[in-house]
Amino acid sequence: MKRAIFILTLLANLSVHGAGINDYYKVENIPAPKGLDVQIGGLTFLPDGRLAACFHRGEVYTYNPKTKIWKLFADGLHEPLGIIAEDNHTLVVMQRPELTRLRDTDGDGEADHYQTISDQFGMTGNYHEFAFGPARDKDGNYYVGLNLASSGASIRPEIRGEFRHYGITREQFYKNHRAGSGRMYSATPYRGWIMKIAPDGKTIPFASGFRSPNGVNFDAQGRLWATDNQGDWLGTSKLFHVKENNFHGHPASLAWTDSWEKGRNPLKVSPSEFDAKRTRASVLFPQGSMANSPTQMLTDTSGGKFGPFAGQLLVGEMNKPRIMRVLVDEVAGETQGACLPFIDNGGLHRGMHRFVFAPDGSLWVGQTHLSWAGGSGLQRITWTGKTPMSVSAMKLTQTGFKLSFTKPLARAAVENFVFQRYYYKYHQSYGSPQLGKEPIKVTNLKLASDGKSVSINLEKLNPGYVYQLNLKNITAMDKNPVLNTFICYTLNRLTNGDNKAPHLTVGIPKAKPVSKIIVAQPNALTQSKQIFEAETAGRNGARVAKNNGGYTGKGYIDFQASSGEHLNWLIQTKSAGGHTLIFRYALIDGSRPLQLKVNGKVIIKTLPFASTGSWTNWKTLTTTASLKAGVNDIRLESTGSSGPNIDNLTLERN
Amino acid sequence: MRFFILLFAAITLSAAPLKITIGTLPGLQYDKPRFEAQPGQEVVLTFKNSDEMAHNLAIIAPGKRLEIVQDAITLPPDSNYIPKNNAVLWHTPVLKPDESAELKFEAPKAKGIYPYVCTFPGHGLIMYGAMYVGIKMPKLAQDQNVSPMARAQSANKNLHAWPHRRPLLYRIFMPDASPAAIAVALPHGVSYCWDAGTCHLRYAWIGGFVDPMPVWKANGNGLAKIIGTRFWTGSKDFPFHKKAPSDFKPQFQGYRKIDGHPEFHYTIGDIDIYERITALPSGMGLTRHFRIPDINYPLRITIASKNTKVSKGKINQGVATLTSEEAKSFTITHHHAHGK
Repeated sequence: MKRAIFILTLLANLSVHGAGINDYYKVENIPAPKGLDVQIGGLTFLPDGRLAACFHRGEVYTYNPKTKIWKLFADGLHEPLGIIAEDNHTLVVMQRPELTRLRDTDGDGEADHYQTISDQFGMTGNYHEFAFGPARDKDGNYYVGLNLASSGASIRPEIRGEFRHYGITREQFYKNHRAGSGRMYSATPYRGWIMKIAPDGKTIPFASGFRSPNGVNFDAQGRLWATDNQGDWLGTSKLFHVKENNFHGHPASLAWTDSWEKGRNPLKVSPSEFDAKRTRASVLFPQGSMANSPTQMLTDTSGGKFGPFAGQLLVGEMNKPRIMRVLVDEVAGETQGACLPFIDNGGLHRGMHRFVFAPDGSLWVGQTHLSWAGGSGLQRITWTGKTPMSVSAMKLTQTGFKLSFTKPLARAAVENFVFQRYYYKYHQSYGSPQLGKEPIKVTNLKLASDGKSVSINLEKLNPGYVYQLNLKNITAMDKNPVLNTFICYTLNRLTNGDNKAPHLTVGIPKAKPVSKIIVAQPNALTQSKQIFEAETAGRNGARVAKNNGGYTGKGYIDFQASSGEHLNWLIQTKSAGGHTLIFRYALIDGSRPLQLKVNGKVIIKTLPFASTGSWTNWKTLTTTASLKAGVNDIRLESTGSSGPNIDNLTLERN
Repeated sequence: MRFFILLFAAITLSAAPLKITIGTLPGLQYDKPRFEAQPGQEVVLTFKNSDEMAHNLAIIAPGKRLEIVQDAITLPPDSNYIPKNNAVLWHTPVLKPDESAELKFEAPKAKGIYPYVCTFPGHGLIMYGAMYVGIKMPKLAQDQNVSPMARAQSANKNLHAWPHRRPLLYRIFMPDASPAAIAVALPHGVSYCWDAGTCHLRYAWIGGFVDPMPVWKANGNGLAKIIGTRFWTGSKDFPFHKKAPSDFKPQFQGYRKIDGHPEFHYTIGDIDIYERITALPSGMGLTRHFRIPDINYPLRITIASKNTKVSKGKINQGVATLTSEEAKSFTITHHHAHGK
């Protein structure tokens, strides 16, 4: 409630200054049935004007915007994450195990036939194997995206489909699911693929190389697009123009191609080999500033009813209350382009997962979180009819960019256009910093005679970079300031077709050293409360790392295997008695318990390290144990779960 | 404020008789998971059996519920399933549907948690509650002395925007099945797990349904928790075959809802198989109704458990053989071991 009041106050302030998003777009909350967990997996409009939505707990409802009546259409689905209407009585839903047609055959408004269109893909039961889509082409074929499994979790004793994992047997895999890769994996077909499913159910693997292809959709020109999420092999989140039979960058899926040699581990292959094969993303969403987790892509098909951006692509973002726009640029026969924030805040929830245009041109948006940073709810966004001052196109030229605006500019000078560029490394590690970052000088600038576009020449123009433009003090003739002040163009290709970007990859990472036991050295507890770093403690298998910031001391300990590893401190205490043990740790998702032993005795079998939300968000877990006078061995062991990253242990005498 | 509390305490201590009515719910549940009495207080307990099967209610000495339930299993029906054991403090006879009985007693002087339970064989593992005598009750969601179903219902009051109903189907991660499992709650307290990955019934239980929250609370990393007692477990492999076990590769095609019950549809080559599962009205088992309209060869079925009855065909060494005519329509019934 407090938050709602805060937003209202903020809106009031913005409207005083005359440039709030709500001057252009109104956001309205749509009340949902009481008791429904309003985490939305899919939205679609039926031909008769009703909305259909599918939800986290497996329900499908219809909603009549005129009567405001919700009606349950189907239930019992397994994490449905996309929905499309075939007609007023038939909906097609992608749920975890299959693409399903829900048919109301007796006209009572509820589905009575749940028809499996296709379940022709494997599932291991790993939670991260989400299934996205469907998108539908003009011939009625469906396209669905199959997530990879998370390396943070294993697979179930029974799986659906063949098991294959870089020459490792299933028994070896159960012992240590990180042994083969330690990265997102595809242990059953066709994880990491986008599949094409004909209306009769015939299913073919369509395109490979995806990690988490959430937003699978067609644009108005019939091009298929998919978003993918920052992580291993993805330096930042991306939007791909998906092409049949192409490889889009994450190599785990290649295990299911004919040409992939069985048993070959992509982590032992030079990234430059994959770089040569891969289809680069058309648009990169810079992590942090633009998007952390892009969701659906939707073309603005409102024909102008939703403002001056008809035909452009909209993309949702999970972690911020944000919808982005994507400006596609065709260069030398390939798509690339720019992204910029479109609707920020203004009453939007976080967790922008799905959206769809209503026949009246309003945009209906549904949120989700699945326990990550997101939100929940259903909202409707309408255009007020006022045109915001914003970038409407960004095109690459031989010497720089041509920017178009929705309204004539009051003035355009070099200092209004601040460019920088950077790139993201293509490698097996999780994410990438912005590398090669440098300001790029504007050498020349020309405002068109209608005042609505600017041609900008830059000192350096090279493929393989994101060119980020910050708009400084730009106002329209009508004195409205520009709504969104930064825009990022992904330059894969110059206008002459040159796409050589050798700096994007590095060689094969050095072989990991064989783990050896590091024997702990005793430290004395001399204060009433004292920190003992993990990186200087004893260990077996677990490694010292420092790539995720926020730790104390010189690093932290990264557990490698789900069993047989340990981290131990030898701490000398003066007196026996109860002590408080505070472990500082970080864990991106899920939970990874460790066993706590003191002096050889199991104190807690599963010390419950729960997610802290990210690898750089450090939290503490507190427990107590009785220590003896003298040297105590305090030990964390992996017995089935590989454990979080451990930063330190604080010991306090009770 | 304190004044009112004292006044209230004074009234209860004057120990008017406690009148309490306990009914039944579908799915082997008393409608009251627990109640409180003062030591020595006069109690008038009316037990109304509004269920479709027979139940009793016995009040047991603290900690002795499982012992009594175990002893009752082997008793003959005319015993009311009440063992001769001092731990049974008071009990009603076995009541048929719509019968009721009254127990009048003085609550024990000794403070304690006294379980009440239905000792009808198979029921007592999940159909029970607790009489708290002179002891403060914890939160229901954390109370280990009430049935797991009551605890789970209290923890998850609003799973959906509609009230709990049976039949109810969830596609959800289930233990001991492929990741494409389906859980179904039937009337009469019977539930089963049917596997859309392998196209066959994996196991069945009586009691409550499932707690889906381990899966739903976050990103799907977890298994639904079965509430109740498993009474039948099938083989891991598809049980139908033509010549040798596992010579069929079934393909799931979906299901239709008939009176809320799913009728599963799967194919073997171009032969369609339809399977609908209903609960026995006694709540002590289930019947699988098969239709295979186009089958033109004899069907063999591996029978995994003793408490299984096939309506047609001949059984020899654990394999039922049905002629192609018989296989067009038949049933398989799985009973609870104590349910015949």
